[in-house]
Amino acid sequence: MKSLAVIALIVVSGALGDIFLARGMKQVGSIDTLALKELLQIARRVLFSGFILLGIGCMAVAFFSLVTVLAWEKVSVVEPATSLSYVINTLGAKFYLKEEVDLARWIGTVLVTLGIACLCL
Amino acid sequence: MRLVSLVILAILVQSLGNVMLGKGIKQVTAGFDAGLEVWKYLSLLPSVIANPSFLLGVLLLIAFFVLHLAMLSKADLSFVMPVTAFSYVLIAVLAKLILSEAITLFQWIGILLITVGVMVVGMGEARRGRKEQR
Repeated sequence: MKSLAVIALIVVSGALGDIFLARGMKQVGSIDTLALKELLQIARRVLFSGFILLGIGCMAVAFFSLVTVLAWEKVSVVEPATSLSYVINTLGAKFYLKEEVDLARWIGTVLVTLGIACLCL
Repeated sequence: MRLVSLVILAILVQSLGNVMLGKGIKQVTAGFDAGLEVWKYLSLLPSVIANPSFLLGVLLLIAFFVLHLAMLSKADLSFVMPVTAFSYVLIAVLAKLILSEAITLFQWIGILLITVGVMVVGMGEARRGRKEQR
C-alpha cells in the first residue's frame, strides 16, 4: 500500500514535471538561433522561468520518490508502472496545455506506454 | 535547427548517455553487493565520480535536457514525449551491443510496440503538416 502511494507519486510528479517544462518553454518561445549572445539571453529567461523551476522541482520529487521505493520494491515492478506517466503527460497536454491531441497521438501514447511496460518487465 | 534533426539528435544523446551511465556504474560496482542496504553504496561515490564512462553519461544527459527544452520550445508536449520514447528502443539495442545485455522475447515485443507507436505519431504529424500547408 505504501509502495503503491509512492509509485503514484512518481508517476504524477514525473508527468507534471514535463507538463510544467512545456508550459515554461512555450513562454520562453521557440529557440531558432545558434548565436551565442542570443542563446545566453534565452538561457537567462529559462533559468528565471517559474514554470521551468516548478517542472524541475516536480522531477526532483519524482527522482527521490523513485530512489525511496526502490529500497522496498524490485525495479521490475516499479519501472513498468512509471510508464503510465506518458498517459498523464498526454492528458495534461490536452486539458492543461490545450494542445490539439489527435487520434494518432493517442494511439502512439498508448502503444509507447504498453511498450515501455513490456520492455521493463 | 529543424525539429526532425533536433528529435533525432536528442534520442541519440539520451540513449548514449544512459548506456554510458550504465557502463560506468557496472565497472564501479563489479563484485560489490550490499543488497538492499542502500547507504553502503555511498562508499562507492568517489570511484563513481572519477569514472570516465559515468562522467560522459552525465554530460550527455545534461546535453539531452537542453535539447529536450529546445524541442518543447517549438513543438507540442503530446508530440515530443511519445516520439522521444524511441530512446527506450535504442537503449535496449545499445545495451545489447555495448554491455552485452540479453533481450528477452517480452522485451522484443516492447521494442516493436514502441516503434509502431512512434511511427503512428510521426505519420500523423506528417499528415498534419500537409493539412496546414493547404
